[in-house]
Amino acid sequence: MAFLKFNKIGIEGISACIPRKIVRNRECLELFGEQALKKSIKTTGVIERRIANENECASDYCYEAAVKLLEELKIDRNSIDILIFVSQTPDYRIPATSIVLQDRLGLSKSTAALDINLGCSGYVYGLSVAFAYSLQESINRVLLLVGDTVSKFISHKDKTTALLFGDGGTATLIGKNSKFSNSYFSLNSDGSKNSALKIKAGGYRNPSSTGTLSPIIHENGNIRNDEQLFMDGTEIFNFTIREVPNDIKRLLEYSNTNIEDIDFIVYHQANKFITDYLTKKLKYPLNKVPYSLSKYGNTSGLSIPLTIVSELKEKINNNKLILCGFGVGLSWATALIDFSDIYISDLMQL
Amino acid sequence: MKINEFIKELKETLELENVELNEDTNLRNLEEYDSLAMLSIIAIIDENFGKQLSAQQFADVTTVKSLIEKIGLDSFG
Repeated sequence: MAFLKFNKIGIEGISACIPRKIVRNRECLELFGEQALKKSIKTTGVIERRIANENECASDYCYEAAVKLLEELKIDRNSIDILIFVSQTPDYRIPATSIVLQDRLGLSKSTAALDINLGCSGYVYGLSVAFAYSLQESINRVLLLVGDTVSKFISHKDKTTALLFGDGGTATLIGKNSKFSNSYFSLNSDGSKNSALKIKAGGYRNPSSTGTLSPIIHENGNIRNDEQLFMDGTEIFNFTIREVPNDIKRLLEYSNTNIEDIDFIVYHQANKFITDYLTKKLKYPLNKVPYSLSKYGNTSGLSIPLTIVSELKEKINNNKLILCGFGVGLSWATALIDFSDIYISDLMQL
Repeated sequence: MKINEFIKELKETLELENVELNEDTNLRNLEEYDSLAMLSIIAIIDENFGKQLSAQQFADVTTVKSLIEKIGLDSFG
């Protein structure tokens, strides 16, 4: 049972960086008819997205976000003990991008650097790892960078995914301080449904070939190659309604907290219809659930910190938040975190 | 939930104001029956019956009657 509890460890600050380039869904008429396009925008909640340029990687957005955060908080870079990079779009197959970032950010060589390959659940999982390391007496500061350029593996001719995703990078500084009260995490996985969100080829199970890069017309008319994302929307929705409300309830029970005491729930930004439905199921007020989905789309692991930066900067003040990430894997994680005195940087664009 | 209430809810959700919807209507022939409509139907089924239909079960749905049968006739009032 991956239930975790921490005390006097918390988030000092968060920053986020997104691409300047905007793609507006209502302009994507070639794939959808006008009616279908309107409906898609209405159900998913995604109106426009930020798309990375060809030469930009997730690490670039994380780098900019990290530099901004460290400068604004006046953090000595030598004081960073651990660097964690969470992404499913690394710079290279090897070496780990976190190590490349250690050098780019000018961190000390005695910084531990590691990557985590998770998407939608990646921020909460990443936080849990950062918090766990912080239990060590010698670990005072952990820098968690979460970024993705999902747009680069989406087929523009696949209706299930073409209008959903956006790119960017975030930086979160985790530290020790007596101002932080208890935080709790619940971490879960279900590999039996791993095919629900998948890039079939390009790894070692189904290596890259000219075949895997050839577009295939699937039975519903969607066109993609095997190195582009496949998504089974029905399976994902079923999974979400089956698991997410239960996980949130379990964590509330574990932490002895009532849902009325939660100031905001920040979900992974996947689909507004789905997360509104979850909120109704939990009997939680819709106006305490912020969304960045309409402006930035589904930004994978960074959607939670991006939403905090873009929507809660002026609203957050010593609040208890539930963060819930769910999706690719299938993997899902919920955290209940005390956001005491948190510093939130202005959203930046690259 | 009664069968006629379910059909009424389906009609509203699929925005079929001017279209007749009854047990024999073939959902697959309706323009409105797309993957997004399926999300709404999943929500209706979850909310009213506490059940989930898999993607495969949805793939086998033809008429409204077949959808009702997949949910299970004994689930209805």
